Amino acid sequence: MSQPSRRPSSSRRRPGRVPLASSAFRLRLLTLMVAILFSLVGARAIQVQVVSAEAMAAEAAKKMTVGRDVPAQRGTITGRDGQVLAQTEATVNVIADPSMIATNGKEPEAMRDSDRAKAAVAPTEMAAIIAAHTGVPAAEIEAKLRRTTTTNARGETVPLKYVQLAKQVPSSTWVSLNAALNEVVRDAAGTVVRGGYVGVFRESNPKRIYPMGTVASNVVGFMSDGKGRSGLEMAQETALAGTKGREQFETSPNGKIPLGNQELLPAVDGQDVQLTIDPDLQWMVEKRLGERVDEVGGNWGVAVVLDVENGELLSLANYPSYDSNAPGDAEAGDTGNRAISAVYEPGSVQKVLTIASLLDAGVTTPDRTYPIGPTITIGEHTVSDAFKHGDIDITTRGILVKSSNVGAITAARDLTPAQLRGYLAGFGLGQKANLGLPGESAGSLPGAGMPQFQADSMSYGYSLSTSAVQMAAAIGAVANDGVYTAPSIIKASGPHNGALTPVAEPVSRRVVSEEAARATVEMMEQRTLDSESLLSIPGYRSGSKTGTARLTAATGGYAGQVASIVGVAPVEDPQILVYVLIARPDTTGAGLGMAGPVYRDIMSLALPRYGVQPSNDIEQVKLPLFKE
Amino acid sequence: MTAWETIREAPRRIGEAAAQARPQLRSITSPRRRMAGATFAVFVIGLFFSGMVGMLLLTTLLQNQAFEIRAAQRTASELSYRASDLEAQVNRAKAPVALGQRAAALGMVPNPRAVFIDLSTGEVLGKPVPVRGDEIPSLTRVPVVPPLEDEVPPADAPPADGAQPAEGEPAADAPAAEQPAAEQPAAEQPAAEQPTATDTAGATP
Repeated sequence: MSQPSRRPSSSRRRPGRVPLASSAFRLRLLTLMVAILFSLVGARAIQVQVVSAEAMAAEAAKKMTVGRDVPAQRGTITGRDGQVLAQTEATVNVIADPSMIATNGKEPEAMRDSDRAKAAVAPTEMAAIIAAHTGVPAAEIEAKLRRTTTTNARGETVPLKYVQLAKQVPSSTWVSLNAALNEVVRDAAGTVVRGGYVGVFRESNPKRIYPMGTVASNVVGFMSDGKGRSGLEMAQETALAGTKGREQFETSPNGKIPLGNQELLPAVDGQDVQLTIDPDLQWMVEKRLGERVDEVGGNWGVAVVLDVENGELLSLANYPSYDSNAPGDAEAGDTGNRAISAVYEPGSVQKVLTIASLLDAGVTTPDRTYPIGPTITIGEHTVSDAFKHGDIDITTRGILVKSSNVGAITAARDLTPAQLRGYLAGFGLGQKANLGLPGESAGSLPGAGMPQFQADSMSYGYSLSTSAVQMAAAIGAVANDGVYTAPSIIKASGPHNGALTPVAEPVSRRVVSEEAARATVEMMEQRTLDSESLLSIPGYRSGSKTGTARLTAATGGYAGQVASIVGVAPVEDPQILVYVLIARPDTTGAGLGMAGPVYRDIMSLALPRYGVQPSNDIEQVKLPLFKE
Repeated sequence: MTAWETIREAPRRIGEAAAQARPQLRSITSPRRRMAGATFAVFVIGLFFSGMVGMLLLTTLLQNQAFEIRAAQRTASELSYRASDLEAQVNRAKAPVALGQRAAALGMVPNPRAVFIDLSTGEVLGKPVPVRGDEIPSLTRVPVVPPLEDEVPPADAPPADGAQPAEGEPAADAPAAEQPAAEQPAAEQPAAEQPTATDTAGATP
């Protein structure tokens, strides 16, 4: 017989069973579990707040913090009068979100029929508006706007959210374009016909502009990919570029957190650089030079205008030149600066330096005569003069005015080669002028132990090479009463839009005595009087010296020639020096005929421009060139 | 009863007398000071909602300020862009190339023979020579009339009225006009281009 079963009471539970039915026990268990849970939470809180508080906080901040670069404004390059030669314009790129345009700015599922209809025609209508403002062909823009998907790196098709429609357009163009895109056209019933387009934006992309285009472009240079590639833009890259800053702020999905942590490391804008170049004069010089080079069929030309008292280059013109705004259109060789990079044998202009040296050494006077024959032998070569003559007695003055090679060699033999070389080195030949421009050449000067024939060659401008700026500075020393002042092209620099600080004074040294220098300049005046109709500057006493020399080919030997002229005025107190060079592929023409007209026009414009008063007493007396 | 006994008995008597005079002790129920459950709930909910509303107001205020700041920043950015744009236009317009072209278009010629006047004595330094206009032709040749479309000032710019009547005058008064007939073509060349220049300038409001 079986016992009727009974539910076990709590007090009579079977051993080994957990008394879950006991409410007191369950309460205790729950309390225990909650205690354990809170202990864990508390432990975690201690870990987070105390043990690794800093690391955790930093990690959290990192996740919330967004950083972005703050671009530095590139410095401006100005002329001596403050006119802007290079500046950075705040232009913008016009960009679009094609996938946004395709949905009329809505989520695809939220699109209504009217949205679909608008999205279908929007690319065409928008392309017409954008094309009208930016000049980019409408078809090209429409094609970009209609391409709404792209393929990512993993080969998946994803919506295209960014496309560039126009690059570096002026901000005023963007403002009017944006207004045109936002404008809504309604019909009589008030229904939107067109307009109110979405999905076109702008992004900042500053552009370096050169308001003067070709003016001083060979000095200023140009930029590419955000870096200076030529001229001062390249040489002064570090100073002009400045240092970019960094902005950090906390952000949420809704954007910047208004009272969140923000850090700003401000950008340091680039330095402004002021040049010694006078942009107005530079433009006139470039125009005059360019026309003459074309007239005479020259390869290239260079013109230098120098303030002889302080060595400042007022103009440094090259032709052919280029527009810094479009360097890609230029011939490769024209984007450099031939006035500082092209070296050549200076030819007869060099005789000015030779005679100044001879006068300083006390071995000659302007009226000393040298008996010379039609030719002279130097080493294995025979040198003659450009003018025909037999045995004559030529004065030192005559050597300069008639540009006698034979006379120059004869006279210079009174100096040792080392002495002559010392003078020429003093005039800055054979050393870089250190203007701070890229591509400067030092030229060459034979060593002090050179053989006599080399010294003979040097005396009339061969066996040594110079750049146009070096030669201008050397003659400038003669004009500046015998004191050489290193040429300079950077006048001042300073913080962007701030006060500019003049650069350090250029190197200055006496090379020849004041008497020797003045006597040489007066001889140069006789040269002008010898071709008065071609070289004189009305109202001013001026001195000049022409030269013609062969150009050394890169492959050796000679290739064409350089016709040159240098002039200083006023003779009584020289202030302005003009040096013009024109290179030709052949040996036609000479300095007087080729470069003379350019020199005269430039000097005529420059003298009154810098307030140089006309000469009171214009010397018209021609002094003896030969012994009567 | 001795005095001592009297003293000894005194407390007891006092106690008895006190016992007879003492009222019946009973417990006093203190008034309920706790807030009623419903009131407390209303209070908490009210506190919660006022907190929420306060937070909402604060957030809205901050957001509004953020929007204002953003809008102001955008305006500042647009204005700085505009300033940069105008600056560039001014610099292009005053570049010697543009000025030279316009001067030439107006019939102006360079003067390489300038003279000086000593203001204290009235003495003229240098010899005045009439300028014919062909002294430095490279400066008077105008290859292209400068494109002015993008340099036309906005409608609210001050009108260039003062400059306009002067445009025709220098040509009439210029020494070039007084030159012999043989040199007229040189003087007329700029004049021939004047309509273009005038038209362009005329577009300026």
